[in-house]
Amino acid sequence: MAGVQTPDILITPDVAKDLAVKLVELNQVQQQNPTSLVEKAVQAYQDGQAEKSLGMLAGDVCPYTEQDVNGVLLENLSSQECDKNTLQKQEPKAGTPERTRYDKAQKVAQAVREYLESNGQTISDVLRNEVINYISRSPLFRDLLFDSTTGKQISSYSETSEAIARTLLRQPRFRQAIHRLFTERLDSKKRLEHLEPYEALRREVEALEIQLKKLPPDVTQAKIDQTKNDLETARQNLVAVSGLRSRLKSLESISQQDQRRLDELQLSLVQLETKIGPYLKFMEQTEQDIQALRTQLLSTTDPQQKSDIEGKIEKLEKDPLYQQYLSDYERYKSTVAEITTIESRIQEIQNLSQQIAEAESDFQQKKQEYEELVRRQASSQTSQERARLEAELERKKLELKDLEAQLTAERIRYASDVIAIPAEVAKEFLNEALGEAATHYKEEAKKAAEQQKAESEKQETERKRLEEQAIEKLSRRLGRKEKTKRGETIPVPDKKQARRLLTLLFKPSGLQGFINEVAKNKTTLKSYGLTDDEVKAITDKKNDPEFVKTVGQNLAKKILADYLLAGGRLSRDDIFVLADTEWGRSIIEDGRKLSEEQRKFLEKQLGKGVLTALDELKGGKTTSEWLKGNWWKIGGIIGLLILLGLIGPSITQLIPNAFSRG
Amino acid sequence: MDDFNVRLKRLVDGLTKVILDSLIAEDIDQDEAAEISRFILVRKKTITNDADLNNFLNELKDKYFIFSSFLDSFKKEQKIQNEDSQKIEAIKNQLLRFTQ
Repeated sequence: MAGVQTPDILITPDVAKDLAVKLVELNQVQQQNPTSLVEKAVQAYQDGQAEKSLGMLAGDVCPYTEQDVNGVLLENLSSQECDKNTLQKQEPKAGTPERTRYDKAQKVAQAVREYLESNGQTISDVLRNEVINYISRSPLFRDLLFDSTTGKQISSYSETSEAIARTLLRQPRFRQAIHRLFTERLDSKKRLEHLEPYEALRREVEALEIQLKKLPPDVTQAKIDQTKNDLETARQNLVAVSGLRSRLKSLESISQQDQRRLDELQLSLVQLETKIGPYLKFMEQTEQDIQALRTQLLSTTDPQQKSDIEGKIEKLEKDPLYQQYLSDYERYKSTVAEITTIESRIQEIQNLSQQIAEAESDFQQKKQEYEELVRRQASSQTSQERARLEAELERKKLELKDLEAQLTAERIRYASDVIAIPAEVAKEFLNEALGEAATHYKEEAKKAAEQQKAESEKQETERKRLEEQAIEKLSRRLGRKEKTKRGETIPVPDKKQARRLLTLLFKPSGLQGFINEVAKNKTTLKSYGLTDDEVKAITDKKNDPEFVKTVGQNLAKKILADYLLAGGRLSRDDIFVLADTEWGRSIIEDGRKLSEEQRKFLEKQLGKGVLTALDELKGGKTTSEWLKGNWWKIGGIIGLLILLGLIGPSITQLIPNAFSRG
Repeated sequence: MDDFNVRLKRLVDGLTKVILDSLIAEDIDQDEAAEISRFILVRKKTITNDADLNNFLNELKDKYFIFSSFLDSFKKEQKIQNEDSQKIEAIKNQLLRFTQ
């Protein structure tokens, strides 16, 4: 419908979602923070150093310190953890490829930094070698550095490459180009794309591992049995302890009396101690001595010794001081003994209470543990949670591994980018310097290509002209003979020659066989009046299937028409063969189309049904039926009629049927 | 530092600020900023008097659009300053004549 345009794609909800995400992402990209270079330039400006700020932007002043450079390299090239003191990543482990990359990148970066900081004056070996390496591999300098015949380094190789490198490194534009790449790649805010997602995922994995560790162990039947046994032991212990309850009760019943008595005794003890305190040691010692002598007396049989011991005992017992404080000392001892008895009862109450409480608590705890295990076994909650966490952990670990591989690839790429700064600038600088020459050569090459194209187009036009001319000559001469009338020689259809060519065309080799015969060799083609160039044009194309099809078909039609015009007739077999060949079917199709147009014209002029009426006049049969019965009568002229489009479509549409042997 | 050099420094400060602001606002990219900064640093060395300064300002205005507004203000300020100086000078002369 005019004015209505079909949309390129259908906006489905999914497509809309993708578009929205892309737009959001686009905005995020657009809202980039200023680079470190800009930040450093702003900082210099704010410090009142506008010219230094301009120098940084212009590429004359190095904006990054040694620490800045090391920091960004460590952050992006090391896979080690952060140092707790410096909060910066530790250097990669020694002897690893990561360390090799880091060391190389660091050396080159610091060499470039020193070069920039010294305004191009400090050119370290590292930097020079990087440029020399590039130059020695560059095809531009191959001839200068290598002998073109032997391919070996020329004797002054090192001097030449050194001289080129020195010249390059002294160029202000070279330094500015290095500055540009250096500030871009060593930007202290630069972080690899996969770094943050990797760290986040690693933290997730660690959290999951901790979560898994915190899960209670799985409930097994053995564990339940064990807990059940523990519970039974605790129960038995509780039963055993329960037997002590009566003793506790009886002790508790007198505990108040005990406490009162204890208070009294302690008061009395204080009074006694005040009284006999200074002699207490003497009294105790005397008592011990008497007791020792008495023991000695029991084991002695000698009467004299016995008498001596008894004398000592008596002396001690009759000591006036001892006698004076003996009754108080005896009271003191009995008081202390009673206090000890009461205190031991109080202690026993405490012990029994504690023992019973512990047994009860232990039983309750074991009971709870047992019940919890039985409940967990019934719900299998922990197992499900563990399975879920383990599956998630496994998935995350795989993702982490994948991300780690990508991060490593990105680290390798970044290290290469840093290491390649001098070489890239050398390449860029040389390309730019030699840009005009390259443009000149490109333009020359373009002109040459255009000229070649024009030449080849001209040749093609000429070839086509010769080809058309040759075909024209062939169509005038094939199947014809020359006849002179009133002094003028013209080619007229020759039945014999036309028949000979038709016979070729009816053969299985068809058009290709016909063309091969017509363009058999130079002599054959020249016999049709072709020039040498025209002969070549035909010979070159005689095996081209497209040429054979179009040219052969047109010539075949022409020969058939000539044959019929010269009074030739087609046999039944000829017609069968004609209908089977491609060119024959083409003739029929052409005739059918032409007659269709004529029929439409006649119908328009005379009204519909006229031709049907004509069919009926031919004996009440349709034309095709009539043809089927009388084909041999018109065999000789049918081809020409078809060619000239004089047979109605009702016949031509049925021709394949009419001609078929079935 | 004489008056001329003070003005030159003030100009460089102002130009630097314009470049930085334009860079942050993404009106220019880093390569353009580098080119402009380089131009200013190179040309600054050749400015020794007011005529050089005026040429420099005109060149800047023609070459880089980002400075047009700043340079208009700077020139206007400079013109006012010059007029003020001339007026002060005239008054000084009148006073001198009066006292003589």
